[in-house]
Amino acid sequence: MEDVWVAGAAMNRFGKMKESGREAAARVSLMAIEMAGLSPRDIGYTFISNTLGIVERQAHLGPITNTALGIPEVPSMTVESACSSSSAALHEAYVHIAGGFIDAALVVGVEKLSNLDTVSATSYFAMGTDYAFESKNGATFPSLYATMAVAHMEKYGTKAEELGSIAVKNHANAALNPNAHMQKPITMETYLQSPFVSWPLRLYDCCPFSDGAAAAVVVNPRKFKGMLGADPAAIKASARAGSAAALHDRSDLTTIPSSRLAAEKALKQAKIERSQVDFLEVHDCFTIAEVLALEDMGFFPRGKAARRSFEGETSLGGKLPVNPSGGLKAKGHPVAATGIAQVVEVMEQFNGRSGKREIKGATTALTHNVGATGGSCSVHIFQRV
Amino acid sequence: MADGTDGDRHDKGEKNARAGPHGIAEYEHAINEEGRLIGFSCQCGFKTLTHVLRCPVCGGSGLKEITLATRGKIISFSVANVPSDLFSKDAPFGYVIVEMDDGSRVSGWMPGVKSPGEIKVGDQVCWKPSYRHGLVIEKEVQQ
Repeated sequence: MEDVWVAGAAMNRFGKMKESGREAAARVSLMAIEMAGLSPRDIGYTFISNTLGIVERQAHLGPITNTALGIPEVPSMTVESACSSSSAALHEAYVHIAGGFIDAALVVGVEKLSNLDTVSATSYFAMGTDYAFESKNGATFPSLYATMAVAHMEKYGTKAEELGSIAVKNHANAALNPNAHMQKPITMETYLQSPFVSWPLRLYDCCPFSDGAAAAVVVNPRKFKGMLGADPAAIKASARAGSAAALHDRSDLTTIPSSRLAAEKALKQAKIERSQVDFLEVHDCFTIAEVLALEDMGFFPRGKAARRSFEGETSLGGKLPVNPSGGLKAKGHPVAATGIAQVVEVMEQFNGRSGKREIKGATTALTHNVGATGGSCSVHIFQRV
Repeated sequence: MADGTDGDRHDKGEKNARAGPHGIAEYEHAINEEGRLIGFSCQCGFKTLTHVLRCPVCGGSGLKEITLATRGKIISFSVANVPSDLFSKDAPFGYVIVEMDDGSRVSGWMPGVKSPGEIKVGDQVCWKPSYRHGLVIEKEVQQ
């Protein structure tokens, strides 16, 4: 297998985009290509994710992006894996480069849905569930994660304040990230007083609906010796796994099997121990999701992650910082852009571009990106080079 | 279709076009017209109402078409205040995952449940055929 590096990664400010998804996708792509020290003509394949592109009545975004970049002849494909779409696209790029089929790939994720009202956005998101057997019976993503939260509370005694501490932490981190959707820290009081979206999940347990775009350039370093920009990172592992799509087809609601499986595969592939990981970007679409991620991937014992987060272990400056970017929770969650936005945070942390949220001396990072309620999951491990 | 799936056929339960086990149209017909909850059971013990051609737990091919139990208990729940468009006139309502007496699990909703104090994990509930959409779950009234 060939080595695979991320040579450049860029995102726009998450939140509300004035421009369309196609424009944002082209812009962040060019930024990432230029950061990589390359030109669009070096790209051998474009993997693009735009989960809810139908909202903009635009599918087949690959050729549109490649045309905008002056490389219409380059092959492209759309990769859809719900909220884990662009990390799935990154995995496809990794496989193509590791296998020697191409030398460089552009991976882009973009979403624009801020023009939708809450009910419409909730409805489009619900297409990521098992629609016939969950959404048709009332499911929304907040409700599905709420059932996981209730199961976790029943089994382990997890408390609202513990979930709240994750919201407070991620908002505090996002306030240090100029690209984050949410720019203001919140207090525990604000969290506790926010209305229930789906009990027991409050408004501040939930990520916002965000627009945004993120792109990464992935290369075979052997083919670009002396050409790359200043900031590459090695992809030491790229692993994916799945779980039964509907929650009612899983025996335990306090765990997401695909998270455990993907993390085990990734750690084995990278040949590293959990203790070597300096920080994590995990899928916190809801606060309970961050708890499940940390427990499923084995960074905390079952039933302990919420408490340990409450005690500050996952804060910046804590033993294991989690979601220094602000996470989906506060950086924002433009569905298909999220997986690559996690990579942007890794690149910024590794290369002294993360300002006040810098984790000093970080050389190894893990990203974890879940599709829907864990029907799909990607885990990537990165190291400084 | 040759693989036994139902593809995009929406024939309201007519059986002439089908090869293999029942599809989603038959499931919906059974709920709405026959008052039955139909699904599949595997030799490994797994039961589901989800449309499957092999067992999602053991991969087994010996699935039997069964009528599921309609009584069970709440495994987990939430109270939904922000619905999708399908339920835009129904919120707030209870959203529940129920384990039926035969071990199968279903997702359903409880109209009229407005606050979390009204239901809890372990509550006895049942599926009631209803003119309303989706699987309507009701509390069992103690005799």
